[in-house]
Amino acid sequence: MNSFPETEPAASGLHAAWYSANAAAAAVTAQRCENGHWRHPARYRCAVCQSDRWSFVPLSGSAVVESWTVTRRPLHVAFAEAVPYAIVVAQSDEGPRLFVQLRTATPDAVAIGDSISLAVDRFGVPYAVVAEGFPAARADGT
Amino acid sequence: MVTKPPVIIGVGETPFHRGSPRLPVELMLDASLAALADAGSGPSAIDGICPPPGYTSAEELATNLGVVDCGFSATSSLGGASSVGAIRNAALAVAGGAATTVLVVVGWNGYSWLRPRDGVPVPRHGLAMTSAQDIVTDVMVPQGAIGPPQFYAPVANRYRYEHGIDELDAAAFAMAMRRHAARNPIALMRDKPLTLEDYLASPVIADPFRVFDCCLETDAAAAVVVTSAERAADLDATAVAILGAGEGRPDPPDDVAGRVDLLRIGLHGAAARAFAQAGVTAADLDTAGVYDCFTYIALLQLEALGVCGPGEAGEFVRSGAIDLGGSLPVNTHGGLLSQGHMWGMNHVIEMVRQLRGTAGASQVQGAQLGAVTGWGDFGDGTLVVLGADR
Repeated sequence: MNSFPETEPAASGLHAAWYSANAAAAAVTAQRCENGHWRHPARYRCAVCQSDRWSFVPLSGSAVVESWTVTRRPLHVAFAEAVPYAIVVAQSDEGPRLFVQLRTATPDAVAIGDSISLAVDRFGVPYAVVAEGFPAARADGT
Repeated sequence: MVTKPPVIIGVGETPFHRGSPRLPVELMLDASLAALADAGSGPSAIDGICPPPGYTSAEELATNLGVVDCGFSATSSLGGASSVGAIRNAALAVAGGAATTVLVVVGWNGYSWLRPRDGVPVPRHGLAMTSAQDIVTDVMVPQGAIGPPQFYAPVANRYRYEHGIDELDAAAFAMAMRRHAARNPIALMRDKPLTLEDYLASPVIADPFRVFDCCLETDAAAAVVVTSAERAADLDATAVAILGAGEGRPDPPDDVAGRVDLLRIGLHGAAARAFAQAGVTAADLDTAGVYDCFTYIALLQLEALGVCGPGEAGEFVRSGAIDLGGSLPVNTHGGLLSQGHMWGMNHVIEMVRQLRGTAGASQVQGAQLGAVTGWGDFGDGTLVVLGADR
């Protein structure tokens, strides 16, 4: 397993509040407006109904890989020890999609459609792991 | 009587540097004066300035160039799509009577800002990305997604997955750009041919992007002068007509991951609007400029333009269609991948030369109609359709 830096994100405003909510819930959350519309990343108003009443609601953590990339050359010295590492676009069961690091010993194996589970570290920063039982649970049987 | 569309009357650029000791604003002043000279004009003719998002301001440019009573400015904040976006803003200002002659300039220290060196000044104000930058800093960087290769790589991998585009397709685009650069005296990669073996041996930065899928970090500046057809008639320079221009944004515009369709990009809307305004389609183009920040992203734009159908860009490029002598030569100067990265304004300048018939060894014979795309931030898109006035 590579060593990915685990640090408090230098976020501000709604994004900082999101990390706090994640840490408090010990789960990845996303905004849901008063009328039940999900959104992510955090924003001031709902793009569907324009409501400004919302809360951070925990996601189940169940998601699939919509797309992915494996970084093999560090673009910053902070990630020099982390390469190669996988980042995926996670499609959560509830709807929100997010960029999230996939913690895996085999980043070369990541593929679109993989089942993953979302979790958070102590700072509320999300990460994903390959879902328990996967790839046995892979929909196409491969 | 139909009003004639605004025109580009002058173009100018600096050399393409990999390590300039000068600030972006200084390079922009050089490019601006070169564009004004090319227009057969001087700063006194300018009454509007479109500066880039960051590095400088209309006020700083006006003062240093001696532009007095500047009555219009607008900044397109679309990252790399800003060059074409700014030309559109300038054309709208001229057509609407807000200005008569507008200087559009971009420039940056794309090489030097990543490689600080003693004695090389750092601009106080860099590229301004505003809300997109907030999402990068707050949401993406903690995931290890720091730069454009990582933001766009999931788009490219989804493109590969849905349409079977592969690295041979990407390699074909990269090699075509290198062939074009070989004819361009100012291209950074003029003397560096690229073989398929070179491409396949190059290291992966972030899958699927190899080194040779990525554009060249460059220090440079480029400028164009936009005016009315009526004013252009009084100047000793060959005008190129701005027949149509559009901009577009994917939804949501401020984040990549949240899109229902990762392959729906800003250029889809931009191209529809620009082609409709010009009254032409992609099939009418004699040559095109495509914002080739990354090979796969350029292929995706060929499809968004309507040059070929979904998933067909790879075969189109491998057929030689984008080479000189092909059905649609693309980036005959070598593009961002092999000439250098000047935010695509270098693509506009090349297109002006093509339509003036002054592109030298890179000339597309009889080129009358061309279009240039822009791509920036999280997939914002722009398109300008240009026509020969000769």
